[in-house]
Amino acid sequence: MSVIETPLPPHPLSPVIRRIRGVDLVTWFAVVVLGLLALIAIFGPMLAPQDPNATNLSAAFQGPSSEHLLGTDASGRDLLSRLLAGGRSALLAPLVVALAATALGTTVAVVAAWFGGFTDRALARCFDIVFGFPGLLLAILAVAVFGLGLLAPVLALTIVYVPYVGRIVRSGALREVSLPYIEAAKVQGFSGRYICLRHLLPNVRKLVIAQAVLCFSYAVVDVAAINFLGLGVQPPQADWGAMVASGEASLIRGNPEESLYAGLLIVLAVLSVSLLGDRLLRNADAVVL
Amino acid sequence: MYGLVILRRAAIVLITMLVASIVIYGALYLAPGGPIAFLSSGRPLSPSALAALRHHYHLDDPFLQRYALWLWGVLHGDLGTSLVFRQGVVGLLGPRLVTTAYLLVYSGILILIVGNALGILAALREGVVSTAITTTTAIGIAVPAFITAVVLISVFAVNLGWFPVTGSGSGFFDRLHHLTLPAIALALPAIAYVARLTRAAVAEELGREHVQAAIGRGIPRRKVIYRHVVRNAMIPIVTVSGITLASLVAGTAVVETAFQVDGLGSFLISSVTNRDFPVVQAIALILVTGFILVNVIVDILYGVLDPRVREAV
Amino acid sequence: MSQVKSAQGGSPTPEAGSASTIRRRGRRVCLGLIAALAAIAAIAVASGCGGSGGSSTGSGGSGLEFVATAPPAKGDIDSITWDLPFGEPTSLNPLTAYNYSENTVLGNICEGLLRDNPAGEIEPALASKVEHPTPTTWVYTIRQGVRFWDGEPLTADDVVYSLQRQIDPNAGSYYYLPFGEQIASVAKTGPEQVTVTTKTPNYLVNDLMTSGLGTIVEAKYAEEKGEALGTPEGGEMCTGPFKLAKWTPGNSITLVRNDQYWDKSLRAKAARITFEFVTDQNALTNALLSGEIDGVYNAPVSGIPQLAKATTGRLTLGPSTESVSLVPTGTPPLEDVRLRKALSMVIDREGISNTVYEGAAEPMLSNAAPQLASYSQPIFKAAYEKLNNPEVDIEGAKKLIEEAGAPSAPLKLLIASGDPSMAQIANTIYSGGQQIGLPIKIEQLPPAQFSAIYFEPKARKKYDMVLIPTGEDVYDPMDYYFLAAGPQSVQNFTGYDNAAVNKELAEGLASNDPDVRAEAAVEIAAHLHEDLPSIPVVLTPARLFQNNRIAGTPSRWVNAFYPWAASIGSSGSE
Repeated sequence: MSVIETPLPPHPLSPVIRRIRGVDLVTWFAVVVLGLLALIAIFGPMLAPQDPNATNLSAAFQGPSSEHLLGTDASGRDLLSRLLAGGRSALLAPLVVALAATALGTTVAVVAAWFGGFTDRALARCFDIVFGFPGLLLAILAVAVFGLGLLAPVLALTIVYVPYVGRIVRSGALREVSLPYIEAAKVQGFSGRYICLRHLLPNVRKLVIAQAVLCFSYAVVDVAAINFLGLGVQPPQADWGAMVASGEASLIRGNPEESLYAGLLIVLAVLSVSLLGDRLLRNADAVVL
Repeated sequence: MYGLVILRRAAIVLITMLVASIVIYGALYLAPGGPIAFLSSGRPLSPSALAALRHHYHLDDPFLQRYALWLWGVLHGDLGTSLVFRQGVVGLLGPRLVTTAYLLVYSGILILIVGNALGILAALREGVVSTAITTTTAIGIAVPAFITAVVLISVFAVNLGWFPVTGSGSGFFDRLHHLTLPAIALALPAIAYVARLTRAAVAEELGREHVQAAIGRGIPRRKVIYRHVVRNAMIPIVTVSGITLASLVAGTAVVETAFQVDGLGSFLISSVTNRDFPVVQAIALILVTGFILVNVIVDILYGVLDPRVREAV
Repeated sequence: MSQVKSAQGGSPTPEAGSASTIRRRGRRVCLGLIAALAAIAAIAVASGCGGSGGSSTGSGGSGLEFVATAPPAKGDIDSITWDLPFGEPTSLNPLTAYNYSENTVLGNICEGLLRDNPAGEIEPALASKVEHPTPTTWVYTIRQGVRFWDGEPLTADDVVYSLQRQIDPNAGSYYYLPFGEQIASVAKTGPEQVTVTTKTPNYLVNDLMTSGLGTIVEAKYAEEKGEALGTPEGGEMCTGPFKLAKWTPGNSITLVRNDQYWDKSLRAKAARITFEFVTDQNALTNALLSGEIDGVYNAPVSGIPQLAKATTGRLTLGPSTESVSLVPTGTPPLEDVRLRKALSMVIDREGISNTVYEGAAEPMLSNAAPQLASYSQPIFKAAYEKLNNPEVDIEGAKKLIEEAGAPSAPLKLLIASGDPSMAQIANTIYSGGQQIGLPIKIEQLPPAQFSAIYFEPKARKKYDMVLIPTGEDVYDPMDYYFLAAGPQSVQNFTGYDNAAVNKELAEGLASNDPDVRAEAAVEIAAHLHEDLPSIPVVLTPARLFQNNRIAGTPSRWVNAFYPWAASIGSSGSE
């Protein structure tokens, strides 16, 4: 999905649940799931009960047991361990994309808004041009050039996401710049850098954070797709997107577990992150242009 | 005035396309080992064959000259020769382009019809229906196409056997049969998105004073909804649907690979793994052009549909 | 002299997925025992399969039937659909048609001077007679009355043209590097006669007249089409029992019967055969089950459980020279034989056969397995049984690594991308390496580049070992040893040079007595079993799936060098 230039509707789940419980369960759900996923990403490989890459061909396609809580895959590897180990590439790579794109996008946006005029117009046009590229496509092209692996797609996605953040932060920053307090600060003789860092940036921070979170959710999908296509992490490394793909071969034998478990984790991650992002964006009172 | 906007818009599109083409062409030269590493596919070549290759691809000319030559060829329908298939890229892409076009149009129709219908339904029917639709779409939007694909294959192809999982079929109805599951997988997140936005747009229109007033005056609800609500809500809906369609273009790579549909997208992926660079360049160029063009058409349509935008400029 | 007859068969095919095949071209020759060969080989493989099945575990023990000779078709059929599981051919020009898909199609439309047949013999095709007056000359008499599809008669000039292209270093023939280079000259020495002179005595060159190297295209047509020959735009002009009718890139290739075909015994029973390019294992399994696709030789491994139970068709195993080996590339870390031994000891061959291949494979101890030979079975069998089965021995392997010392960097293991079975085997080797303190890194190359590894020492030295699915051209272990263990061969990855082996090679290749060759082969096998210049993994019989409505498909995989589809017809069930 791309950022769409239309006000986002209120989240459909929230009014219903609020009415029943009086608490915003959606946010809680998102935060709790995200917390758990973060734990997997950070500690997953350590929590794995078994070596995620240890094969045992005579124990392929086993159902759940005390030894293998979620069963085994086509090579007899422990699915639970692979799911725990697979969170790193599935979540940390998108996190890098989101952080880098946010940092770059925010910097460019603030610079554009601060200097205005030609600089602003030129940078805005640059955003438009980069925005013209479908992210996944550039990531695929990057793999075509630099070879298989996650590094090239992560760099490509970062570049593509810069305007996702930049466009919206720029509009927020432009509004701030026109406010009297900035003028006041200028009159007081503060440097541009100081005003941007101490006043402008803190005042658009909600917007920045919301966009960063949304960016993260797009990146989770795109990185998973790259791994699903076999262009990212390489075997035997466990990764959720790659597991959906490798499980496709087992699916037809009637063993859909590997694909489904990995797919479920990706969906949970995307769902919780995008719910949180929507919420933050509304909280930020975004006027999206 | 509006003409000027279109002109400016067209200029941006041209620049975007130009940048895209430079990136796509220049990428060959960024690769480790340079273009020769690609062009020889890692095969051992005699010095004479190597020289022939350098000559054929004008590798000894300056970059801009080579780029201009390539662009000239592209504009004249010459997309080069596949390194793996040893034949014109245009010939290779033709049938696959048709398949991908079928898939995109099929998905587009699903998105417009199902997405809008669900959205309108959710806005008009408060209660269980609305909740069910909003909940499903909220989740649907977070399900990447390749995961939908796996679930659809597992349920409808493997267990129920209703649909073939292979190929793209031949003839109109056979194609539709083959492309149904892929189209659904491709369309699902977009359907969910369009449904959400449609619901919001319709709900907003419903809440407007003149609508409430009309209902208050005793005009039949059905009539009010059709005349005032849906019509006015159409403007944002069309825009959003259009932009969503553009985002499908890149999604074809994933869905076609998941279903082994031999279209442009899956050919792009197999060409990436085979390092068949002329094919990668050509498909990337086509997909980027498609993406940009749909975006532009939607932008222009938006202006045409909504007089406020025109006046604002 | 006159006609050449020999034990032949085999094919270059890898397993599953879209991986490329590495082909070993080799010589055969084994005069005199033609008739019984197919049957013997078949029995050998059958007993081999059955014999090792005792310890089957996991999901293995597929219980698939092994078919040595297919029953003939009952009659003609309108149309059949066949799959090419390795994807769309890149070319149907004999110069560049080198891999599985290309050959599978090309064998039905274009012909060589000679051909292999399903009984394991080399028989004359476009040459009606072969003479071998000196060790370096081969004289071919061109068959009269053969016409190209356009009605033009086949002439010696067409033959000279086709062969000349193969030996022109600038023509870009894939056969040039190992074989075209061996030919000194090709000349028309009579109105119906072409003489091929080799640089040194080399039986291979004659044998390869069955392959793309000896495949004849119409000179006039080829000249006219130039680079476009063998592409969807340029088409092809040959003499085979099928004509290339339509090639829709990305979709299918359609062949139609050539009613003017010269060999009445191989008149095509099917009026039309359509090749599809389904590479995905799931998709292919479904298409076979539903009858959308009638047949395939390399049935998808992941689909074996379903295909074995299919009511629409039958899955059978057949003779094949295909196997999988782990081959060191000759880099310093694996120069130590202890490391190679340790690697061999962690490979779970039973597990790979039963789980990765769903029972349609068996552990492989050496390239002199009886299944891979079409002659002197008792000698091969007795020797093979004496080889000690390399059981999985983690502790023993660990000890070897401790003794030798683990290399400073992980060993790079190369596989062809897009092949789930290879990836799965690589995963088990990786896992085994972890257990014994021998770190391994798996790398993948696309099929096109993976093939280059085979010819280009520089390219393969980037890796420490390669997992290679191989199909020998011939059911003759000597062929393999000549190419893989001969010190002069470019395909001898490690530069293996053992005086005792060289002596056996020279003796074996010089002899016309099959038993002498067999003795030489098993001697070499014993040396290689100790030195491990290549680590055998599994033997993989052909997996033929065919719909119940068709019959007559050769069960022995004869690949490129025979119009195998000509005998496929109706099973009479329709």
